[in-house]
Amino acid sequence: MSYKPEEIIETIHMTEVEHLDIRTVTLGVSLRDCSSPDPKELLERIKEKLLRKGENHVATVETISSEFGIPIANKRIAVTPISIVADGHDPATFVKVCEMLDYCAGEIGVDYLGGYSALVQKGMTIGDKNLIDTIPDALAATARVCSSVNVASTKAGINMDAVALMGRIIKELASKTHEAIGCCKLVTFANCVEDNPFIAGAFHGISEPETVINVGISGPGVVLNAVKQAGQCEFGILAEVIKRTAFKVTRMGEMVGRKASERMGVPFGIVDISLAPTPAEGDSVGSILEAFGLERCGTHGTIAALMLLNDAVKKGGLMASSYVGGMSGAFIPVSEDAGMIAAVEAGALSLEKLEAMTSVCSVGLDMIAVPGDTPAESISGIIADQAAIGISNHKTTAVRIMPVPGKMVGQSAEYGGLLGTAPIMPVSMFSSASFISRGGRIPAPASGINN
Amino acid sequence: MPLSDYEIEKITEIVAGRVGEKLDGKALRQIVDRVVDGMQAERGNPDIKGATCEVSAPSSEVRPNVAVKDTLDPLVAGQGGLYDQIEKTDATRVIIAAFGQNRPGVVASISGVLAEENCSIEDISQTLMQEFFSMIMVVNMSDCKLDFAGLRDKIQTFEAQLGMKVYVMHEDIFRYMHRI
Repeated sequence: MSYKPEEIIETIHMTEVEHLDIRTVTLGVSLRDCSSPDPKELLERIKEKLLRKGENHVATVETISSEFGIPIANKRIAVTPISIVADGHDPATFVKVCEMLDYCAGEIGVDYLGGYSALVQKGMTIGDKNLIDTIPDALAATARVCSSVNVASTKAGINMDAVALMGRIIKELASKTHEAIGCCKLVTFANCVEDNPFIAGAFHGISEPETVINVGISGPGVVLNAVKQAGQCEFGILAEVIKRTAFKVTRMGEMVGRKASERMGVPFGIVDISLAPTPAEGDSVGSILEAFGLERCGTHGTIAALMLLNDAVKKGGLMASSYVGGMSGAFIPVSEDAGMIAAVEAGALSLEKLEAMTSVCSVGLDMIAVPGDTPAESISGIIADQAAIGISNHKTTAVRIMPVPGKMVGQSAEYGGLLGTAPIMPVSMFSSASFISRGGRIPAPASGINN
Repeated sequence: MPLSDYEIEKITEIVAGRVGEKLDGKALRQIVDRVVDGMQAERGNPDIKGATCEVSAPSSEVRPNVAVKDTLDPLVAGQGGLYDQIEKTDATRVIIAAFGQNRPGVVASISGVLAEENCSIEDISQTLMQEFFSMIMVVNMSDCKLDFAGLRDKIQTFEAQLGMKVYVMHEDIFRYMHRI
């Protein structure tokens, strides 16, 4: 037989029992040719192009999912940062563009569309400023559009004016949406990537082609099972087990990406090999770390465990795909990961520990709920800290934080679905206000000047 | 964008080459869009060799024998090159696996459907461990009267009758996961 029975049984086990799935197939669409000085024309062009390019996306991905028996959790769209497409327009038009994106996402049938974004690590154009200022109104008025703002890079340093502004914007957005759910759709980045397929940080970078297919894998459940089966082995063997599993998971992502590319006639971009957890039982990065032997995620040893996991996933995934890209590191979104939620509720995992964990994995402080009375300057301070970790380590970091109005430590915010349940975490009681009010730009680190 | 006669002719050549015999309205529109987008993108850069330079030639210049090299999207599968070599396979094979309590007629039921739908069994293996039965088939469905989903659904209707779990999966899953 061309396949060994154990290979066939292993594959069936991975798809049927361990819930191997693909987290997202994201279609990137350039909107750079949709610019127009006339607001009506701008909206019409965006609508026409998105509906034309996206019309087969959902149906094609669903056919692939059904044909190959691999669940594909999400179909998504990423567009050129709107601050570029709509530059020169007034704030009201920016909000209309966001509403048009929301309408198109609904028509195409995707749950989220990313790209209400601006790249301001060095400074802001008028368009960038208008976009950021309109984020609270735009995200409060729409359901499917996600926004991201890049405020720092290893080459440019940290734009502290933008960091200060984002603290205020996040507070304003929180006050305009129920339980601050709008903040779940907003990411503040350092060193953002242009081909990230994952929401909320996805956008279609300015160096990307007209259209592109990017795939994000999932797979914490499969890795967790492999780690449990490996038993109390030494770390070299543990890393090997994870590498082998990551290879197989990534191969599924590669296959889905290539099939979607072929059937839609769209170039294949990358497979993002981030382990993306969901609130479902067993689909948790926190649980993997606990299966390594930690009593609770967050205790001493957690950073070493996360580093091993992240590195082994990369080593396995890199071999499995021709083009690995995007974020490609373990995600640790608290509210979306049952193991992380339990660890926070048990008092094992704090904001400070999560900050330290972000120095060895990809995404930064993700889906963190904090008290509603957290000052904007403290949120800016959290963003600045994450940006500093990112630009000093040549990696992406981000902050997706929800200051939930009226809620305090001990309570939680219920978002449901993939967004999960966010326990409110304490922040420092000491002020960062005077530091943040300095303004200006923190210069690029010496390690960024590497030519 | 405004197009010269020469450009339209080249677009048509490229589109016809890609579509072959499987012409349908939606596919045609998608491919034409991509070819035009690609030309538009390349037009901005006169240094690009190949299709662009030829397409950018004045419309009065007739060069009927110039081969058009379609270099627009080398990464899209199905357009030749390394990826096609990697992907090249008899992609019409499926793996059928059945697991459950042993009972008479399992292989007969499944192979009956396969014969009815004009599929051939290329390989079969079955094992019995005490009362637990497992069977794996590699089936070629090149001449199958149903599409993949149709065949899968028809075979899976036997699940309840046989009291077994039956999986029908595309061979590509196993090829990608277990072979490089």
